[in-house]
Formats: sequence, structure tokens, C-alpha cells
Amino acid sequence: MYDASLQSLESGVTQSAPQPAAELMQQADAVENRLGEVYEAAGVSKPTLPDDTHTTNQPQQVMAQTEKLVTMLQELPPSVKDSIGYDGVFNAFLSATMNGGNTQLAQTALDQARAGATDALKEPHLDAEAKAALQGLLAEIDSRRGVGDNVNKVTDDLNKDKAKKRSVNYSLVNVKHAVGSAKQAQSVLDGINPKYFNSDSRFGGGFYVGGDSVTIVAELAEHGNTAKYAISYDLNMNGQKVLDLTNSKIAAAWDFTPRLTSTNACQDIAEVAKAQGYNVIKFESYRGGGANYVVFNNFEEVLIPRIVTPID
Amino acid sequence: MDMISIKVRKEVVQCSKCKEPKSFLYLSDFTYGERLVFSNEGLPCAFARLSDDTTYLEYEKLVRQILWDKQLNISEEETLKLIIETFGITCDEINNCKVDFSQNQKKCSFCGSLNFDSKMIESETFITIELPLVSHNEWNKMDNMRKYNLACSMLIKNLGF
Repeated sequence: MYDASLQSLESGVTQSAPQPAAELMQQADAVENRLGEVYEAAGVSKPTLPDDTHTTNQPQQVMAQTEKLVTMLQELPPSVKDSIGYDGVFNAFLSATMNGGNTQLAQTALDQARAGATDALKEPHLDAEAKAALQGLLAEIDSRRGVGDNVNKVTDDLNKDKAKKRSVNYSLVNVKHAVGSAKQAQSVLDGINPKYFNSDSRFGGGFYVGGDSVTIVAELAEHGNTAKYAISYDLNMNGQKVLDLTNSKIAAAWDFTPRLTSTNACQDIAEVAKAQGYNVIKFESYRGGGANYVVFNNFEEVLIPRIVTPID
Repeated sequence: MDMISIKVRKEVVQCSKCKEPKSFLYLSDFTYGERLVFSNEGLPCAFARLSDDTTYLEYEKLVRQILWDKQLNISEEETLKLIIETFGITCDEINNCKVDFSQNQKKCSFCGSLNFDSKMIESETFITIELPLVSHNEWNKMDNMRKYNLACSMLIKNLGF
């Protein structure tokens, strides 16, 4: 329903209107961002619907079982919180509760916390306190495996698969890439090819996308190019290792200061990040208010094309 | 020689060794298939639009063929790096200089150091520069065997054996 409405809205931009398309796209972005805020405020993942087969209608039971775990998460040292993707994990627990005690979502949250903690333990220079906290967290997670089993039996493989597909939608972000011609748009849609990346870009060779149309149009305009088409993607952050340089603590840890750190230094940051397994970097847009992302690999999995919109 | 006028982002950073300022020029991060080519001195000397360049596709196929023929197993990432770094052999000379895609701008114009401070010393700005577009007239006159041999010797030199 959400996607259909959005698609219809964006189709309207392409087909109708005495209004300039750029203006309509700006409005579409505003509507989309507002919807995202509403979902975020509600603690609910955007297109995920409650799954009847996994719902207990007793959210407090799921939350009660994971209460200790959530407390442990909250008490983690800040540097470790960043490493395990604390916000995402915490929101996953919240989402499970908000979805009527959805046990599959709770299990997804546990899995997400486990993966984050396991990755964080591999970080070099981890101090003893952080290491102990992470090990305690992992032990707690293991003791909670199958959290939903005594609330609601979920054994059917098909249902699990369906639930997994729904949970994949947990971290979708709408982003855009602008091009100067129909030929370029077609080339990008045919498949993002690293042979066309520019290793001299801000974070080195990768595919760069922006959070809103205005920003990417402004970005190309600054360089004297006219954006002719905007390609919208769903950026699927689920399962990706994202270095979020819009988070001031993470940025400081990586010695990154927006608008001050040189491109040379950004490229060095990207090299280290890639060596540590990060495949997406999120950074503040220099031309607008939103965020930009650079994706280094797994393009088919990470970037799902949705619609191409001409820009007047 | 066709020229193109492009607007580039300019950053100024300090050389870590001699403390002299150095300007770095960049295309938009959002460009796809476009490159600035630099001289041995680290200055921009040409512009390439690879996404519209049929010779780039031809050269990619040729390199992959040679790697296959010579049974050279290198990763996809290394292959792409090899293709772009040696692509200059297909380009016409510009002002009597060979086009070399392996060159970059990370070299101090004063002391030759490759190390620079991590922070800019002034806000980034945009400037317009005019550069020649890379062309492939000489390459296009060659027969396939000549192209193969030329590319082969270039790859062997680049791979270090």
C-alpha cells in the first residue's frame, strides 16, 4: 500500500503537472520523509506489517523476556554501542513489541544483536571492560535463543521464510542517483558497474546516492551539469555493515570532520573501512540537508531500483 | 583535439613535509564513468568520458582475453584496476605527452612529497577548467594483432614480469 501510493505519487510527477517536476519531486520527498518520520516515531519498520502467525497480542511477554538484554544494551560503553549498531538493534526490539509482540521480529532483533556483538568483538584495541560487556551480552543472547517459543510455536518453514522476507524490509531507505542523459540512466539501470567508478571520488570508487532529489540536483549543478533523470532506489541496509559518519561519535572515532576533512583523508578512511568489512558509508551531504551514501559492493542486494523520474 | 569545459571542486591542503599548499581538483562524487587524467606532475591534463567510450569497452575485452590466454588469474578488482591503469595506451598523445591513467594528483608540486595533512586549510570552492578530451585516433587505425601485442606488452610490464 505504502509503496503503491508512493509509486503513484512519483508517477504523477512524471506524467502530469504544469508544476515543474523538480518542485513535485521535492514535495514527494517531503511526503516520503514525513512518512518515514511517522514510522520512526512509532518505532515501526516502514513497510513491515504484523504477521498474524507470529503475534501473541501480548507484547509485554516478549519485552519482559528481553528486558535484561535491552538493559545490557543500554549500559554498553558508547564506543561498543556504535560498533554493534545499537540504534538498529534497540529499534528492532521496539519494533517487535510495537508489532503486537511479534516473536519473529524479536528473534530477528536477537540475531541482529548477536551479529553486531560478534563483529564488535573482532575490533582491534578493544579494552577489557568493553570486551567483558560484549561477552556478557553474547551469553545473554544465547540464553534467550528461541525467545518466542514458549509464547507462540513457530516451526513452519514457510512462515519463517515469509517472516524473513518481511524482516528484510526493516532497513529500507529511499535514495536517489542523478544522471545527465537517458543513455547514462539506461547504463546505470543495466547494472552498476565498478569499471565506471572514479577512484578519485570523496570516499574512492563506489556508487554514490543521495537522500533527496534536491541535493543530487544541486550536487550536479555545482559541477555545471544538468541532472536530467533521477533514479530512485530502495537502499537495503539490512545485513550491510554501514559506517555512519553522520553520527558524531563515530565520525570523531574515525577522525572525520564534515567540510574539513580532505578528500585524500576520506579516501584513506574508506580504505580502512572496507578492510574492516564495511560496504556502505553514510555521510552528511555537502549540498543539502540530507545524507549521502556510497556503496562499495553487493549492488544488486543493496540498491533496488524503483523508478526513473525526468527532471525539468 | 576536442576541448571540454568542466566545473571541478577545489580543495587546498598543506603538504605534510614542506608545508606548502597544494590544490586538489575533483569531479562530482555522483559522476559515473568520468575521470580526470593527471600528468606526472600531478596536474590535470585531460578528461575522459568512459561511459560513452566504445574504445574503453573494446580495451576491457582485450585485456580479459589476454589474461585468459596467458592463464593469469587475478581478482576482478585487480582486473578492473589493471584495465583503467593501462587504458592510456589506447589514447592519442596530448601535447606530446602520453596519457597515463595511473597517475594521480597526490604529489606536492614543491617537494614531491606524497603526504598531505588530513584537513583542508580553506573551504572548498568550485572552478571551471578547460581540458582536452581523450581520443583514440591512432589506436583505431591499428589492426587487431597490433592492438593485442601492444596491450600484452603493457600488461606484462604493469604486472611486473
